[in-house]
Amino acid sequence: MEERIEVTAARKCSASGSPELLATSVADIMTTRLTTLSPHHTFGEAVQLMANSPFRHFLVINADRTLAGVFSDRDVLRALGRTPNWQAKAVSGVMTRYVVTVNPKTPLSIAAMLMLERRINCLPVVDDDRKVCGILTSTDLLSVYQKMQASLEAAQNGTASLPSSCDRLPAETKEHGYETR
Amino acid sequence: MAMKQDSEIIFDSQSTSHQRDAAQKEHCVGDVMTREVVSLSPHHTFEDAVNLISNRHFRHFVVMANGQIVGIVSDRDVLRGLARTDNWQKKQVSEFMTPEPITVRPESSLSVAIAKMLDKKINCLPVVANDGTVCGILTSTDLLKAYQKDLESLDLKQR
Repeated sequence: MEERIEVTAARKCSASGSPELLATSVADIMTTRLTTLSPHHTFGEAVQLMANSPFRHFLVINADRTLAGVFSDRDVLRALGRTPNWQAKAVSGVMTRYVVTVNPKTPLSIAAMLMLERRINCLPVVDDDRKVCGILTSTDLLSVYQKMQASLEAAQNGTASLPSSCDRLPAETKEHGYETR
Repeated sequence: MAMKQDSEIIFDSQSTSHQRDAAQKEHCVGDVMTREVVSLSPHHTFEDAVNLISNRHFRHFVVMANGQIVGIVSDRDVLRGLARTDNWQKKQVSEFMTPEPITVRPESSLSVAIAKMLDKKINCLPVVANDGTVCGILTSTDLLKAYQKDLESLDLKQR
């Protein structure tokens, strides 16, 4: 049980520097910096991690970096209702196993459609070798949409600058999870 | 579908939202908001709210008193209430709602509305007209739908 909670800063899969306004595929806007769990972490450890972080979804990753499942706040609520002695359970017994995933090359329109249809807010991104390379959340999508709308409004009003309310867009949404020491 | 007691749960269903279908258009809140608003009174019980949430597809309800919005109840509020209180069934909506919610106007630009949501980390904004009446709610799902439509018509254009 000595597994560490991992924070990985994977390389961006996309050609870097592509402006978000022209984002068309998952790779353009996904979050690549992830806080992940292993299937062997205990439920107690996972809940601690969630309580100390602003995020609601954590990817559970096998030793070979393939996806084992997703651990979300919904899983916690469901398990709390059902299981006595929940602290000792392993993450693998509580997480959602059959997860809808996308590829970095998946068009954003398809990704958004998947979220709406399945009523989910998070899609793990896996590459052609089935290894995890990022996560796409509804917040990532909304933040891009916000920028797109702001620039359209600016174009409409004939002003070059973005409205001031956009200055404080949460840049930290690109950083999924938190640093563990 | 009225509930017993003096206070009724009001389902206000106006015409479905008329969304402009042109791609890459700047929208205002009124274009994409949900017009069907389900409202509770502050005197409804926690149990009424839980029943409502489990029977409907929405997660957010507006709390109205004397024609004015006084709060909002989300699935989060309900979960928090369940976790904290023993005899939760009898509690009133006013005791666990979020009072004085952040609102937007129907003519607000979408960029301003989304920035508010991201900034405050919330998923729902009641839409309030000039005269104080609630004319809809804007949720992150409404926005995702609008974005998805824009993206799709962009895909078609590029083909």
